[in-house]
Amino acid sequence: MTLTATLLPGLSKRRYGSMFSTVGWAAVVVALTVVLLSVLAPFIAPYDPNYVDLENVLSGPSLAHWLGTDAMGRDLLSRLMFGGRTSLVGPLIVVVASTIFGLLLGLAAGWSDGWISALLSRIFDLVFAFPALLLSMLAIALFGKGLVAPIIAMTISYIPYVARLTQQLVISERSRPYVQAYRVLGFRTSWVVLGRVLPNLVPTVGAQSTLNFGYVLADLAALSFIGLGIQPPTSDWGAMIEEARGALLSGSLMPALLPALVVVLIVVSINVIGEELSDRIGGNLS
Amino acid sequence: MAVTDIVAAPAPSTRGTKKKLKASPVIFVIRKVATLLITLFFASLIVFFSRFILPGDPARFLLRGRSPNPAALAAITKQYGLDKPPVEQYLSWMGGILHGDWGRSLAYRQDVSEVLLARLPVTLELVALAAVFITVLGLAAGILASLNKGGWDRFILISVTAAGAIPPFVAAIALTALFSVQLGWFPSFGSGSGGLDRLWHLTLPSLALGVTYIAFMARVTRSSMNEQLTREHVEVATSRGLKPSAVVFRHVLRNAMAPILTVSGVLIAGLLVSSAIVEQTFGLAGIGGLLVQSIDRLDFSVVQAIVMIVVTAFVVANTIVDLIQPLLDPRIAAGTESR
Repeated sequence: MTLTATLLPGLSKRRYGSMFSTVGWAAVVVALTVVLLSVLAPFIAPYDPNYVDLENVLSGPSLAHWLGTDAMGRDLLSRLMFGGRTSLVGPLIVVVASTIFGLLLGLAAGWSDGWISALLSRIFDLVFAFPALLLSMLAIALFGKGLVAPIIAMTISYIPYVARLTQQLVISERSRPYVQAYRVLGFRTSWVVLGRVLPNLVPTVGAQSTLNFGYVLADLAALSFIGLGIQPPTSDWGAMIEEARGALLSGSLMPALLPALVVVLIVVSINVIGEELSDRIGGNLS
Repeated sequence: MAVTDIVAAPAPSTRGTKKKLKASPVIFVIRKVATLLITLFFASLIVFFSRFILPGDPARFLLRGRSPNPAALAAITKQYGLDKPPVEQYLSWMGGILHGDWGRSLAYRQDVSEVLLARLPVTLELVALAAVFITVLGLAAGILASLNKGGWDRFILISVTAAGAIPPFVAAIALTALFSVQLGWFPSFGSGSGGLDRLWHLTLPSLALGVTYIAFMARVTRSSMNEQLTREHVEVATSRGLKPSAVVFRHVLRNAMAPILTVSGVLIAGLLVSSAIVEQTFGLAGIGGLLVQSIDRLDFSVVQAIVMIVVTAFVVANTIVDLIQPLLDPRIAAGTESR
């Protein structure tokens, strides 16, 4: 049962044939809106995100600037839209890469007995000892600031989560009749694993990976926020909050709170989508 | 790290104990400690040899951002033994760590151990205060939600779910905006001067640090209390006329603690890692903030030391949890799968 089902029982019932519940659809709309606004930013953003207008500093919402301006007079809406491009791409790469590698390693660990499986399990355990954010910081200390080092580090950190899940699924899948039928019929193991077992796992694992997106996004934004990720003036939600701290302490809340709100909104909606997807797919499997 | 995934992600040291474990507690403890040491050994290899995946002159890497004149290069080569084979370098680094010699900080021109010791108290106080908030607020919210069905339950669950999605740095900003800028109740910067002043300065940071876990704790407590409340032993206790408070604390909560304990190792590690962000935001002089500044100042030996400390804390905490669990739930020690 998903959390939204506990919270809002009326709104979280999925009607027959519908992909998501009402809450789920709301989350999809929010997430899609944010993604579209970010992707289309170069075409629809009202201003250049780096256009400085010192005559118009920290202005509130107006017709000219819908969400107001920051301490350098830059248009907040435009910066939020462009910031989404950097803030969303990182988690996307991490989730896709960790899912692919995690699936393959999990297949290997789940299918093989003996030393390959044991070795992989030990390696997963070792990676679990390094929290994702910590490994990212070590990577930044080695390779320098920016997004590349933390993206690689986060991918490595999230691979064991995907691989563990895949491993468990593979082990239960191995004993199913269709797999044994293929083996008896003499099909090559690699064909059975990659061609028949893998496609059965992708939906479940993919739904779980969706849940990782929000956490990666929050961690990468946090790195930009403490000045180790995206460097100003490139707009990124985390970096925007960091830049707006001075204004925040002098009483202008909007420049800091708006990107913070967007981060929370996108994390919540992606989590709702991920939960409903895994609930739906998990329900189909069992 | 995904808080809700924590339950699914096993602690680094729990494997290998499931199958063969017989009832001997001594072997159980020895196994756990051995796994701990092996994990730490491999972790130290990663932390130390991570530097070796970079191409180029290691002396120049360590001196990044500073003037690499020949004298400085020679000095750093000698200090780190960079001309010796890697294994020898590792052994002298590890030997130094075990003897309390953590190397020298380039940025502070001090021994790393001195720099760390000066900053450790703030981090420990921050994490301890956050742990208090997590325990008190999380348990209270969870118990309240579980005992009051209907409106209260719904309200607590919704606010807790919303709070659970707030990353520490966003919580830091929101708390600063409300309690520091708008209301002016708490300071937004610095770690204060000891005693009550320190507590006052650490309130907002520890709340920001704890908010995700307060929410998590409340959810786990609520669901595990709900499960316990329907059990027979609770019904028996109630029908025997025990006071509700006694039933809750002695019969419900005690059994409900097991899943909470399971995640507390991961929780402590999460607090330590996130403290880097919170300390940096609130300008606290702890080791988390030091980690961020050391990355910024290219002070690699300090970074290595702090990463090693956090990983050690994480692995040790998990081992302790593994060791305590059989005391609470004898079924685990007996080697039978309890769940």
